[in-house]
Amino acid sequence: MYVYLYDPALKEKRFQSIMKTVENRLTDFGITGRIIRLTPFTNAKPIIEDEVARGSKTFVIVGNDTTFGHIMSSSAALPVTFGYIPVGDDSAVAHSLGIPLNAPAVDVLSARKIEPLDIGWMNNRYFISRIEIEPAPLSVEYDAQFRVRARDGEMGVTICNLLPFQGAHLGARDHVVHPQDVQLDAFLEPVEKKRWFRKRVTTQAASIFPFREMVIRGRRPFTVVADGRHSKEISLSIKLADVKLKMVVGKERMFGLS
Amino acid sequence: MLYMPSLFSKSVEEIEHKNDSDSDQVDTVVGPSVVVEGDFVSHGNIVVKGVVSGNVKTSQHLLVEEGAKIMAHVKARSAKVAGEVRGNIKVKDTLELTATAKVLGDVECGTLIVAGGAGINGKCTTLAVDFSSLKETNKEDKKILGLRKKSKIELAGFEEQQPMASV
Repeated sequence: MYVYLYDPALKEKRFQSIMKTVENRLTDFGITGRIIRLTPFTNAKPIIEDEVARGSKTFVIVGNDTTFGHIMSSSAALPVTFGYIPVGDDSAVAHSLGIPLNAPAVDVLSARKIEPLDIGWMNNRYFISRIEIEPAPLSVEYDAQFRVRARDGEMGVTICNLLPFQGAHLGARDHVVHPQDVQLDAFLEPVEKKRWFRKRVTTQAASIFPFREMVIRGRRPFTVVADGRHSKEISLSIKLADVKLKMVVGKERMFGLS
Repeated sequence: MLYMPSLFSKSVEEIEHKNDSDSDQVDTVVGPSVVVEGDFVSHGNIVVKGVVSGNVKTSQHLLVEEGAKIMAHVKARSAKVAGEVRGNIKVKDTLELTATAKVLGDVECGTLIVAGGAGINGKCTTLAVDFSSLKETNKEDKKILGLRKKSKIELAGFEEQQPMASV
């Protein structure tokens, strides 16, 4: 049985025609189910657990990447299958998973091609796509074995699992990020402050470190954006979760192409 | 029933134990503005452009670029060094030292390629070359050594009798 977790923004008028088409297509494929409309502060985990107790096995997130990240942050490790129907103009997560936008995503859902994906754990929640840490004086410790720091001052850190690296250095963008390689990829970009205008400039090449466990410490709180969610941390513990996310994916996915 | 392997799925064993055709793929890059402290272990290829003050170990290829420094021991399947290594290097296959390479430590490898201008201050051992034949002295070698010793004595005697005229 399918359960559809709706983004609260889908009530808006601009999404009504899209949602009508999506729901008609779900009916055509015979995969309609229970609809649960979330609120901005809803914790999806107890809702999903209640539905699992009632016999539901597939949970479909209907909304945008922020909704996707919000639900996954608490529920990614649950023993259920997740699907995604991206609604709107663009979705980096859907593009990476090979899922088209709006109604055509129902075709992918009905095909039910399920793959296990790596999940990251960050302090007290899960993340699927990417973590971006704004430049700050940071020290990064990998796998409790070695430590990395910028030679001259501050550095920005990006941890990629599903989405590729989008930093300034083009060479690092060629690095293939694979959500099934049993590791996370960290990209470190040292920055340099210019004296007069205080403009930050990324210097030279980004460093690339595959890892399974990492601790980032800063001398002062630094900004973290994890799957679209902003927070301030003084210490960040990131590791590859022991469990996998079961996800419905499409043929046009952007990884595993080698 | 026709078996169609998924294009997507790689087993954990396939990913962790990469074959030789993946040796061109760079897995870890230590950038030029970054310092690594502590023992650095990787299962893939490593490119060092910055400073590593700790042992470096990989089961694949290691590249130390010009201007990079490693201040401890290195162990890899193959390596190319264009920077500085202050420690022993142990490479299973080929070790290439470019013209800008400087190694302060012992080197042990299968095959050694040294460009003009490279510096090594330590013991060199190449495992791919068989030295056992050089260690044993057969009859013919002994004869040659004996003749050489004799000619040295004769020459010394000749010089005593006929001191060389100053030029």
